[in-house]
Amino acid sequence: MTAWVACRAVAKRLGAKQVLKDLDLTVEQGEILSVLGPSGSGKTTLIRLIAGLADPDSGEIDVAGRAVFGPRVNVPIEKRGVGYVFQDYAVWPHMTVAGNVGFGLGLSGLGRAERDERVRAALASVHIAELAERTPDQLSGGQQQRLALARSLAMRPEVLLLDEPLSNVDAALREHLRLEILQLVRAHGTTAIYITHDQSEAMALCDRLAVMQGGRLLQCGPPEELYRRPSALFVASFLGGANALRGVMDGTAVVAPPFRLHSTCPAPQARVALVFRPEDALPPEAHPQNRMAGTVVACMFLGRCWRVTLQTEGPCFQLDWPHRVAEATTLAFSVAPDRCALVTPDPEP
Amino acid sequence: MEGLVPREFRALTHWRTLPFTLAVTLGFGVLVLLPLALVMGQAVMPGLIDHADLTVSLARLQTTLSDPRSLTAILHTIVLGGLAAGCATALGFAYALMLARTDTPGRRLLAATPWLVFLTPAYLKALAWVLLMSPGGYLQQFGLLSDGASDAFFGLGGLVFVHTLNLFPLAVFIVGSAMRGLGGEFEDAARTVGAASFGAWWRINLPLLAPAVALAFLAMFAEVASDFGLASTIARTSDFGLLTYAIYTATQNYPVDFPLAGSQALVLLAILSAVLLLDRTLRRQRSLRLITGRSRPARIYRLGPWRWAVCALAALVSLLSVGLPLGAIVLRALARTLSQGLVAHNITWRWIAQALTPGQEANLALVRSLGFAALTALISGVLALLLAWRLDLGGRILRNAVLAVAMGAIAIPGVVMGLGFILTWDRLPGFADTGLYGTWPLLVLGYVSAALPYALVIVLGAIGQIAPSLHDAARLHGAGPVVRLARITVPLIASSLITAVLFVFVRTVFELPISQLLQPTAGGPAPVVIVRLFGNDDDGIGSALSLLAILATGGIAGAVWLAARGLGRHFWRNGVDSLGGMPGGR
Repeated sequence: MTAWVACRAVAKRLGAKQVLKDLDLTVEQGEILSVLGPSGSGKTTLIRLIAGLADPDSGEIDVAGRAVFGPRVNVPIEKRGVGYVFQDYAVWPHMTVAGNVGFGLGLSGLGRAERDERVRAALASVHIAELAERTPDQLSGGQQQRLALARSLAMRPEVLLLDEPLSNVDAALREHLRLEILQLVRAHGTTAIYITHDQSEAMALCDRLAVMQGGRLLQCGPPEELYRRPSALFVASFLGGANALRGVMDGTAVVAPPFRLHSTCPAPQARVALVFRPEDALPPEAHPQNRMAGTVVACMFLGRCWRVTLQTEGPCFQLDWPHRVAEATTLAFSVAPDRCALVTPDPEP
Repeated sequence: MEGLVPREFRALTHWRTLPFTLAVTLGFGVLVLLPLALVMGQAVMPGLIDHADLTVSLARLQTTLSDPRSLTAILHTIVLGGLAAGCATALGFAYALMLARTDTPGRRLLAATPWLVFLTPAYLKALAWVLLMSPGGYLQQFGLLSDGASDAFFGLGGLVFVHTLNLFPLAVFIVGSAMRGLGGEFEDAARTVGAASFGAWWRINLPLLAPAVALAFLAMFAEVASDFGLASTIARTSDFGLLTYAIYTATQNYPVDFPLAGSQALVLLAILSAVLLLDRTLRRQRSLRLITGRSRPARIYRLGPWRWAVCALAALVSLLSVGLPLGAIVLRALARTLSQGLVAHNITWRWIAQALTPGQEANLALVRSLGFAALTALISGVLALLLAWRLDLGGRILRNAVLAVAMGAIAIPGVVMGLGFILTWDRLPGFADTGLYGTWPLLVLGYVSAALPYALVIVLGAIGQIAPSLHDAARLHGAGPVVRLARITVPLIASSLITAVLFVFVRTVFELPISQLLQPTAGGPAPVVIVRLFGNDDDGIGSALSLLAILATGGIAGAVWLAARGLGRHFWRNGVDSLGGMPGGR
């Protein structure tokens, strides 16, 4: 497959801050890419550059297989074929629901009948057809977000950019809307880039996941690959509850006093961080070569297991344990070598 | 490939809007910045205008500062400013406290007083007080005033009295808003550690309100220092020299002395700048931020039987600040002579009829003023909109810079702006040759320059409230700058835009200093004629003209507001759709 959206060596400075540093990224046609990162990592800037809402300082951007930004080209926003769903919805408060969806269609010169049909279909697809004559102030937050989505999809964009669209929606509705967005984007076959800082949202929604930090793309791939084989400590910890031990390679073992642990992962360099997930903790006899022990500091019930906080002679670990363990007692456990990922200890500056 | 636009062309589209940007910036520069620069420039460069000589000389400024008349005017301005601002702050504080924290009966009605006072022009109230206080005036006729009191009124005492009644609304607004933000929890906390009710007020609430009180004082000091209404009426009659009127006379009396006017204007601007600087410093104080919007509702003080006394006092303030002055104008407009007083045979429609007769001086002045004001309001509204829109596209630094200039320009007295206009259009080569000086278009331009900063602040404020994503979304849907202005920005700020236009309209009908300085040779607008009629003891027709001006302005502004609101409701729901031919049943 060819790259439908491509960013090559894109850099952007805002004031004194280098927001994006030589970033390379590709999205294939029909693919949903989640971009995950903490606030200030440059993810919103990235999609603003793709949309044309701001211009990169250098680099090239392709959308739908054609160059939209480069040394000799800069396609205006409205000709890029990009849809954008804003974090704050950005539905125009002085227009009706139908007016919001029809605004861009009218400007694009569509005939009345086709426009009406496209508006009706777009509203029906997000289940707010009956609200067509309302104004946005008469809609709930979830309905406004649906309207924003319908407004973008009605334009049949080549690529849909979603900027944390669920961050203003309450938790109960978020899960529901997440599924709805996924189904809708898939049904339209739209290529989409989904920005979020919520790792569970990012992993649930995407074909591939990109993790950003400090204006750089740290890793990009299928979500399970990033979860199981993170390339950097930041990726591992940002994708939820990773335990990490910094150490040095000695043959196939990682020496992180007082522990000496084995991993089947190739080591990226001599100084590494060994990472394992709380759910990978097993009884000590399961993998005696990777045995560790410590004192239980806290034990919390999570439903399907108990979350044990264990203070070892080295770092503090979070473990998922099948039963309750009394505080201040000693607990030993082990981790399978193939569940121990080896990553670079710190992201490069 | 279609849609591929070379980057150079993008740069060209930027160039396309450049003439517009230049024109708007030039307009603002000529209307506001150039006149001001000339006033300040020629005060320290005496040869600036006549000989294009940039030699700096402080000689003229020194002469002005050592001239006894100028010195007296400066001293009077400062003393009057301090006393009037002090009294108005005290009255405003008490009034705000009464409104915000007591169970005084009739508070809703009493809350309207500050607004009514705020909306009636100072010089009309001053002229009304002359009718009330002068020997043989209404208060003496009612036996409420001795001869001695009448004499005392025409001097510092009377000026402080009228300024206090005229300005206390500002303190009510500023201190009142601080009081509403000041929650009851501070006081309650003091009570729990043993402070008595009064002690809590004195030790807790008062220090917390102190910054707001100081801000109110400074704002009112600046108002008094730049006032022209009382300076050209009561102060002039009392021979109490003030800076604003001194500037005016220097430009009117033969021989005309522009350098004197300029150096006096510079002193006035220096005083105002000091006040503005103090104000800024005060606003940066931390203590102000203690007062948040998220406080617990404050305690309402139960006054018991005293509440009727407080109500009576507040009613007296309302009577003195609005009731009596407006009453005096109405009475005088309907009375044959002032001295015959309130008797049936003294009542006449003559003055009103005269002011309503086309071709009569008063009627011409009224029609002129309404026309000029309408024109000024439309021009200011459009200019403010275009300028604000351009600035909003232009980035934050430019926007904040222009906003700062506009806020500064609001503090510039009308008389200084008028002087700047005379210097520009009567003296500056190139501008003087246009022959605009002494014509009504220049007066309208002067009005626009005085009103534009207000309109700009209102419109910029409204545009700043629009989330940037609303514009971004429109761009993504293919809307160019003009479509965005017409279909996103204007509908969203419509009510602020109409407020700005109406504010400018009302303000301009009654604008005195620029009217005085730039009055067209063909005939003056209403404020000039009103002041002249009162000065010539033609106060019957003067009052009739004032009354009609108030009624006409209020009527027009009210009608426009109601019509705009009705239209807005329709537009809000349907108009935007029908404009763009959007789908959906109607």
